[in-house]
Amino acid sequence: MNPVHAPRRVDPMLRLGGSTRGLMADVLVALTPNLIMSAFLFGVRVLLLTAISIAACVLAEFLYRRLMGKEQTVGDLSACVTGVLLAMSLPSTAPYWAPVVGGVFAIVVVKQFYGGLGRNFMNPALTGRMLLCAFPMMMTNWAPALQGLSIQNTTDAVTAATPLSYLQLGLLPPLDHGQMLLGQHGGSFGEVSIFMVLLGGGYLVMRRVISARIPLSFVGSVALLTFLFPAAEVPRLEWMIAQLCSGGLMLGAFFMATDCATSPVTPRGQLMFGTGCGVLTVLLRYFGSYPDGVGWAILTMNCMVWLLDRAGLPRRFGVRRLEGMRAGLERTLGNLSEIKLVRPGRRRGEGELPGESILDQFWVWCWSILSMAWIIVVLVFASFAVHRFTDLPIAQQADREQQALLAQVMPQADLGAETPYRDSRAVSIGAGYREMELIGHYIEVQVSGFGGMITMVVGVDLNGEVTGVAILDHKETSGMGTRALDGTFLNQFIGRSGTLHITGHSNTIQAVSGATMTSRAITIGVNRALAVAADLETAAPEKDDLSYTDSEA
Amino acid sequence: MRHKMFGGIHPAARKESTRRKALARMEKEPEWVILPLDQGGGGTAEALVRPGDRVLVGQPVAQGEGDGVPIHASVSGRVAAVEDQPHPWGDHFPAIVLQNDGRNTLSSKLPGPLALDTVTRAELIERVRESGIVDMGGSGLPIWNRLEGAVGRADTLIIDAMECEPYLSADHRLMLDKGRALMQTVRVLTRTLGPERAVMVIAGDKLNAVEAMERRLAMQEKGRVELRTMAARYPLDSEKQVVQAVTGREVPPEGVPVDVGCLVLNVATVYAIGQSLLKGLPLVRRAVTVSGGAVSRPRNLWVPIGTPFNDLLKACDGLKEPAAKILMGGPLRGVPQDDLNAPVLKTTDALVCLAEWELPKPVPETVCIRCGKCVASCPMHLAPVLLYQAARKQDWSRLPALHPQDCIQCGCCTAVCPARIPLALLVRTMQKQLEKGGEAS
Amino acid sequence: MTSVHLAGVALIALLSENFILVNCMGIGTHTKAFEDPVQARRTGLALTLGMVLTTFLCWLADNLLLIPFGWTFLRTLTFTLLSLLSLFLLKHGLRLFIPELHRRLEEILPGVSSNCAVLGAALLVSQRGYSLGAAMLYALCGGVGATIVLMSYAGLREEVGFESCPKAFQGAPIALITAGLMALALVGFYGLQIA
Repeated sequence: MNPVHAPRRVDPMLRLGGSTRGLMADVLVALTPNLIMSAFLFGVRVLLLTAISIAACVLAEFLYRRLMGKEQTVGDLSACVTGVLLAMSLPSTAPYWAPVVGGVFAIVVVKQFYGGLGRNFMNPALTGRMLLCAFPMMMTNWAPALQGLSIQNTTDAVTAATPLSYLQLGLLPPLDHGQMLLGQHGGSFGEVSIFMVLLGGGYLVMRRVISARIPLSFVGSVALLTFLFPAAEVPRLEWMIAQLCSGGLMLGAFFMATDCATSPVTPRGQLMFGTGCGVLTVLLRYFGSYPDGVGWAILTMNCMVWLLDRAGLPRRFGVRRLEGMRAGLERTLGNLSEIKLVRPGRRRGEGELPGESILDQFWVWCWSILSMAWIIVVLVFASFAVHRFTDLPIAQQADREQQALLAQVMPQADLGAETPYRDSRAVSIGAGYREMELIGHYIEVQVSGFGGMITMVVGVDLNGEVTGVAILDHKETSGMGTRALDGTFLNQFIGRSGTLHITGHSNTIQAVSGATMTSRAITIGVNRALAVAADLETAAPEKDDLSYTDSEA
Repeated sequence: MRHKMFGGIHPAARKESTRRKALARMEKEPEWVILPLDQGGGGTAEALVRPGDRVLVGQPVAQGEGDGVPIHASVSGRVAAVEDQPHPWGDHFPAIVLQNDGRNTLSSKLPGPLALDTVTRAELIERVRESGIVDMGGSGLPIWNRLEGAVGRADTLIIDAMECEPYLSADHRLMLDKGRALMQTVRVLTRTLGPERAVMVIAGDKLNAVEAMERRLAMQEKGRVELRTMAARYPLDSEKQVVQAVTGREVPPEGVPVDVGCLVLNVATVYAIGQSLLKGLPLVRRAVTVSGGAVSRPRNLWVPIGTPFNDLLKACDGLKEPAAKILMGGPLRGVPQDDLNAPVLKTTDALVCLAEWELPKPVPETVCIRCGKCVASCPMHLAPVLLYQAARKQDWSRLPALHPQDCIQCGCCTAVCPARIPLALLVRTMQKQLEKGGEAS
Repeated sequence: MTSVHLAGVALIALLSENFILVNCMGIGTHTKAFEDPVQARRTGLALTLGMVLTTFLCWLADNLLLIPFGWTFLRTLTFTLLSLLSLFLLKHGLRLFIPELHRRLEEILPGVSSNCAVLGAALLVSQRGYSLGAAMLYALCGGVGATIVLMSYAGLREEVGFESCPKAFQGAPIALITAGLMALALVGFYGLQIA
């Protein structure tokens, strides 16, 4: 029988312009005003960095494709875009090898290993940048604007605080709106000039290269959250504007998050992606260790794009939203409804008394447990024996450590003992004695540092002055944060009292440059210990707690 | 309340060469007229005449099967043959070939005109059926059972005059040149079929037609017809999309507009209904736009159904340059023509001859960059990019969730893809794959 | 325990100390979990159930038995046995009461019992001295975080495919590189602390 008579169909004879290369060229055009403004603000070095970055990325892609015997894709300009974006997220004082390393990593590992354009799952430029964060000293050396860096010599650049460093401390940066928009402050050279970034982003939206959904939902959610939860005693609107204009938010929202291959394809998925990025950015900026959370937020959401695509499939045409949801719900419930509680029934075998099979099973279990029980008994005895033998040396070692700690923290004391005092702000409170006379207390506190919790002990004498600070445990980056943990910094605290500050005029502590967060954390810890000590006069031991629970016998 | 269609594209209209030219008959009527037994509806009619028979204009020459409608002779003359002839759908199909004697003698057995004010519903539907009227805007399916099915179920009558596809201007000229008859017919339909609301939608790029229709409306006392102007956005002329734009209701999957209470009729169809009521004439002529960069004199023609495309081009002074592609229909939905001896069907609205410079530059297909433009432009809420991924991986388990059977083959996705991936064809292939039950893989 | 503290615990378990990507535990499940999103979801579910149950039992044992009597040297041994017990209870409880779920998780449960995330959660919780509520929340969020990572990874694997890399990298190397890149994304959350 004849098949159904149907017309021969071909593809539409119409194209609405745009090719992949055209899209990328548009992105480059959109980035040009930003680049020019950065060159104006930070000097010609910026242009050289960008040129090196582009060259590294293009060369990496060319060589990789050549060596792997695949067709060349350099012509679609996506490597150029990666190069420019990578360069723009670096500080202007970055050494010249930084974009090379970042660019090669981004192109070869993040992009080409997975199949090239359209098949990567994380934003190459951003990943390259985040890899370079492994060299934090270099990555956080911000030069202020309008200082004209020379091409070779960067060592005499004065490090400036970026607006983000102010925001992290809960303060408004001392800039007016004009300065923030035009970019006359420190930061990565591509992200400071908000005005130019917005100009470029607007160009891209108008040319329909990107859809406005991701940038708007990203920026919108950040704006909403920062408006609703400003830092203490800061006017809301100012705080929100400062947050929006500082850091890589605008650059990230318009150029990094919208990268086609790593963002969802469905409209609803895109909205969820943008909102997720915004929420994570605010979370990281408020509570995280790194000043700017935009890059990390985008990378984390990039990993979840596949889930968002599935979740964001458009509603089927003709199926009303409720009906669609109900149908979906029914399907899931139908799937799960087979999972239901069942009365465990046992069929009785032939000629069996009720419960006989259960008893058999039970005896089998018992026997198998008993046959292993001897191993457990042996292990228990072994651990007990080890514990017994090592108990005393462990206790002696602990005692020696205690003495060393006391020597560091309260050199004047010769005996230290725990006290039954408890304070919610301190882990433990001990007392130091000299010739049987109380001369002070040593207080163990925990503060959150850059990489995790820092546990420290602060000795405070009876006049409320610090006698010494010792660090018990930390997770700071060695070479960076640990510079704030050594004697030269900690000795500053000896003899101080009251409330100490890192910035400001009175009662200040000199922070270690490059380890600001760690220094700040230590200072907070010392302040807390001083406060606890001050309250000790009025504290009374808890009624029932005069005997301590000792975890080691 | 304003409703919107989702997605769609905004191609350049390219109608300047024909929009101002009134509908005209061909100076020299065709010598041969070919009437394929499939006039665009997909069914096969049964020939009632034999070679050698003499026929007059309006005489039924083929009987439709089942619900099908008859095909009538569009010229008077002699039946030359009943054999396989080139069909615009790309193959050869049995057709009735008539030799035109040039006299255009009307058949004496034509039914008389019906009084528009008193015609009843049953009479209307019977007359529409006898006159062989099909959906001239696309599907080619008989109209009479659509009208019958709409009684009591449809509360909105929509006259679709959008014509969003580039180059097409036949419907536009129909409204300007034959507006009075159109309006009278719309009144009759509203009265007999009983919808609460009648809306005529015209695309915003046809403002002179809007004015003309408004004037006509004002001249009638009982104008219950609403005129809506909408921005011309392709594919707003498609049935499901125009229903969504006018009423906000979405036609359920595998459904028809009448399921959501709308009756959609194309302007050409309405005019044909009008002719059958006013003059008793069955569907024998229709408006066709001949346009495109390769045509010497693009114009809108009022031609007998069955005119071979060669004769259409002759009436337009032929091609001034070799045509790279000749399409029956517009550049987005048209069927390519290789054999210009194929005739005009009841559903043919245009013959577009595209010159080399009008075609998009042949750019090789590159890799998908997941830009998401196809998803944003699909009016049926599909995700062509995900179908592309499924096809690439041959993973058929995801097809049911992506429902490719909803595709209306509008071609928006292919038009916007920057990587030049033939998405519309791909979705069609996935459709077939799904029908084959290709879930076992 | 204040809600702020609990929120902090939840966030830590989800993000900055994600069991799979940061703590590198929980990877020893069967390989299908990394390839198929449905299996990944089920593995995550089984892991979460295992972690929650084990942490509950271990917390009880720790605070009611080991610490008051000073037997903390038996901690590792007790926790191991308790984790085995809890998985055993889970498996047979499911088999008796919810057979359909048991059928779906059948191949996955043995892998979970030898999974270090289960024991790791219990040990971390007792090391830090969390209260019961915080401990349960930590285990739950840790399991949820692991599930999200597994589903993302499996979804990624399906979409992107790991065949385009050089031959030397195919197989385990590219899988590890991918996991490493995902872990790179979470580096920003280190040291996340509420209040």
